[in-house]
Amino acid sequence: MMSFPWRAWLGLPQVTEAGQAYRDGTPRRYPGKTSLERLTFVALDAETTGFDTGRDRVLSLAVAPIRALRLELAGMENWLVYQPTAPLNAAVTVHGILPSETAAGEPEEQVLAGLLVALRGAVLVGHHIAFDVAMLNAALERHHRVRLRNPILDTAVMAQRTVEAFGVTAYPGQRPPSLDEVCEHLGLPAVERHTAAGDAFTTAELFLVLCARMQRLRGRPLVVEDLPLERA
Amino acid sequence: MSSKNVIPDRIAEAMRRFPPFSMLPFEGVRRLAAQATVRVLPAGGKVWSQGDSPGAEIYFLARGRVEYLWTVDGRSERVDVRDVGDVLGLTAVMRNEAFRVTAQAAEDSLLYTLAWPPLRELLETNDEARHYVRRHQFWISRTGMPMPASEPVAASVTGRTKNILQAHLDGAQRVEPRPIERLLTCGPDSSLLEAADLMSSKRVPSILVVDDQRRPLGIVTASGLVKEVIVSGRDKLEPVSRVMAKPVVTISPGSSATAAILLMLRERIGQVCVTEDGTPQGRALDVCTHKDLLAQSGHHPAGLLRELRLARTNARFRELCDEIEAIARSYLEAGISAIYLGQICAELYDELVQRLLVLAIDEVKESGTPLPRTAWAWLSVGSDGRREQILRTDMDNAIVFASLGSAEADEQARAVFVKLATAVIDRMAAAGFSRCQGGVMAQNPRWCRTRDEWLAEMQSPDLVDSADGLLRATVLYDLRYVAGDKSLSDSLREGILKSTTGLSALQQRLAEQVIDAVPPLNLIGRFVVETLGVGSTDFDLKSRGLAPLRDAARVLSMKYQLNRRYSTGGRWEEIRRSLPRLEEMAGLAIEAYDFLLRIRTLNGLRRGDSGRHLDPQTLTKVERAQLANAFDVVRMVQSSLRIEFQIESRRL
Repeated sequence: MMSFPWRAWLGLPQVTEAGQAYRDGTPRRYPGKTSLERLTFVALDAETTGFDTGRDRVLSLAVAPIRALRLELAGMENWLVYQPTAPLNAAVTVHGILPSETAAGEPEEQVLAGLLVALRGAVLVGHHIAFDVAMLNAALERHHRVRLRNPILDTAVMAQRTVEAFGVTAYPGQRPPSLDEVCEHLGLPAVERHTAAGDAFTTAELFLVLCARMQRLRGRPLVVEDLPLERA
Repeated sequence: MSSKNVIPDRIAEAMRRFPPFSMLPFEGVRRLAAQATVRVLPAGGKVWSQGDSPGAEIYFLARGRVEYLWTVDGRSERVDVRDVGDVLGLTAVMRNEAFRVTAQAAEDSLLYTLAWPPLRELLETNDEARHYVRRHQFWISRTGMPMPASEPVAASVTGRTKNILQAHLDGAQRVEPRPIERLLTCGPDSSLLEAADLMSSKRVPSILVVDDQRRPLGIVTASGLVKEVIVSGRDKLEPVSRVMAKPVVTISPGSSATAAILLMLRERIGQVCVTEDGTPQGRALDVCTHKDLLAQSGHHPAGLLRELRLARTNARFRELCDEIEAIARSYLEAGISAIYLGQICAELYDELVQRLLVLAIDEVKESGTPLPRTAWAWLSVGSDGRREQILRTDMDNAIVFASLGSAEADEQARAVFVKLATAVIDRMAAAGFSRCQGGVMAQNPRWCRTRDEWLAEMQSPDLVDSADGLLRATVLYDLRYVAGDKSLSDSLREGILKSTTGLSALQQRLAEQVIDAVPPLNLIGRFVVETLGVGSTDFDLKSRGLAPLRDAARVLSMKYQLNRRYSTGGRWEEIRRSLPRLEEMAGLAIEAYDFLLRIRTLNGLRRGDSGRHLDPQTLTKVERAQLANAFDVVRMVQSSLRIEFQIESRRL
């Protein structure tokens, strides 16, 4: 989805400025031999009103940047999104964000603009990230006319590849491990579970732990082709 | 634009579970955390290398284990282990000098990198945390750096640290003047001869010169008389006022005995005068020499030794033994070596047994049975024999006597010696000693034998095959003379040493026992606690750690005939000196044994038992790391024993 000349031709709204800057600054892939030390990874987590990408909305969003394989706490960002129509549903019991609290949040468009800056030129990391990407794509499409183009890394898949206990078996009912399961197995304390910031931080830590494990197993510093990257 | 990030709060909370962060204000730690970076080092990865210059950052180890390796002359030695909650890199950054050691992850480790300048500011304004940091730089002494002088802290952090002076002061008694009749005085006009006559008749090393109000004017000492009369040739009839030392140093009654000793040391004098108001203008009450004060200063072993010699009643012995235990505790808390403490306690307990024997012999005689006319000796065996019994949780003793020629005569003699032993052991039990659970006591006829019976037993072929025989051999091997006929005990020891050096089967079995003990560590060096037993979180410090080190020292000294020393520490020392290829290991073994013994004894004092079962939760972080190290040494000793005695690897 590079550019959309027919949008202009049809008189549809154009890509926003923030969206364009993001597009220009974000390569879709990196050469396989690039050292991970030279990449920026951004761990992301979103709390939503539900699982329907069409209807449900993002309530909060957090990113944790990892540069040179170091998670930078100062670079973490955490947004509460203003959703005028947030429903009081079962999801509230998970993330604990009451409808009244979203009023303190920022408008969705503004949050997404910030997100696009944070994601520029980065590899997107998350646990079961496909869902977050789908939610965000729907929102980005609405406000900025872009879709995410970062290479994507799912820590659940990475765990399946690196931790024997989660290895892919022939068992048909097998599902990728949850964040709690992986953290517990690796002895990683989960911080502030089910808040966007907590999950983004935990995912970032998990990513670093998995990288270290992978590096130890391979006996050399890691490069891009070692990671199970997917295209957005 | 972003809402408040709570992650730094959580990290700060996690960090504040550990010192020195626990001593810093939350807000300050939060600010540190907010700027932190997180990295994960794979096992084998290096945080820094020896010789690197430190950056302006330190590391908080949030998960995993990091080892400090010190490379010297091309060899690498592990000097320390850091685990969860420890701070890494502080020493180099504080001193702003290159790292002395390499920090290498022993397992995948999660590190928070913290900026040093804000932390330094925090430490500068928080005394407690700063003192803590200073005190915990102790390990660097091993890499040849000078030890930083520790500042005294009012409230100690762990509540366990105490220096040896404090230990003494805590138990110190006050100076109580003795009855006034004991005070030896003369007037200023008395002659030197009169004074000397008084001193020698009262057997006192000094005489106080007083005025008619009994106010001290000066003091004449024996050494002063030697100097003035014998060396300088002064006339014996001159008045004492010519030679007396003045002014007299005075203290008031009720002042601290320890302070008085310090005063005497400072003034370089041998005695102080106690006056009613503590000044030379008051009336004299007593003169104390440093020997008097040492005995009074309580908490000093020398004082106790004297008290033991004078005691008669069981209640008094009990009191004195309680005192010994109090001393042991304060010394251990002051950081004295447990091996040395064992020696001190052994001296005191030996004195006790000698005193009890004197009383018991009288008792036995009074009851109408005279002691057999033969040489005999009271022996300490087992842990007592090795001078490692600091607490009264066990006693191991035996009697040896020279054979009277016939089996019946020997039986009769044995009956009397058992009676004697019973009297001694009853008194020991009254003084707070637990009787030996294994029956290793002189009142047990099996541990009251003639020299020839002992030697025959040690040479019997089935000694090696029974567990009981093996145990008796090891217990007896550690024998030490306490009282009675020393030459008899010496000849028994020699005989035993001779018979064991020849018994390679015995040595082999003992070495196997050492190797069979499994240190409570898993493959990556973490504690594995006992799964069975009463306290499920405890593990057995004795069988897992102390016993293999002790038995290894014993079997090695058997093999190489290193018999001059009795204690485990001494044996390792001897091995270190005489066997160059085991030198390094023996050095580590001494430290490890000392540490384990100390932990065990402190634990025993805390729990009121022998202390062999330890709950790792009660240890400080530093102690836990040291404990893991000690168990690593046990492993090292085991593998080297496997080579020494050519034992197949891992028997089941």
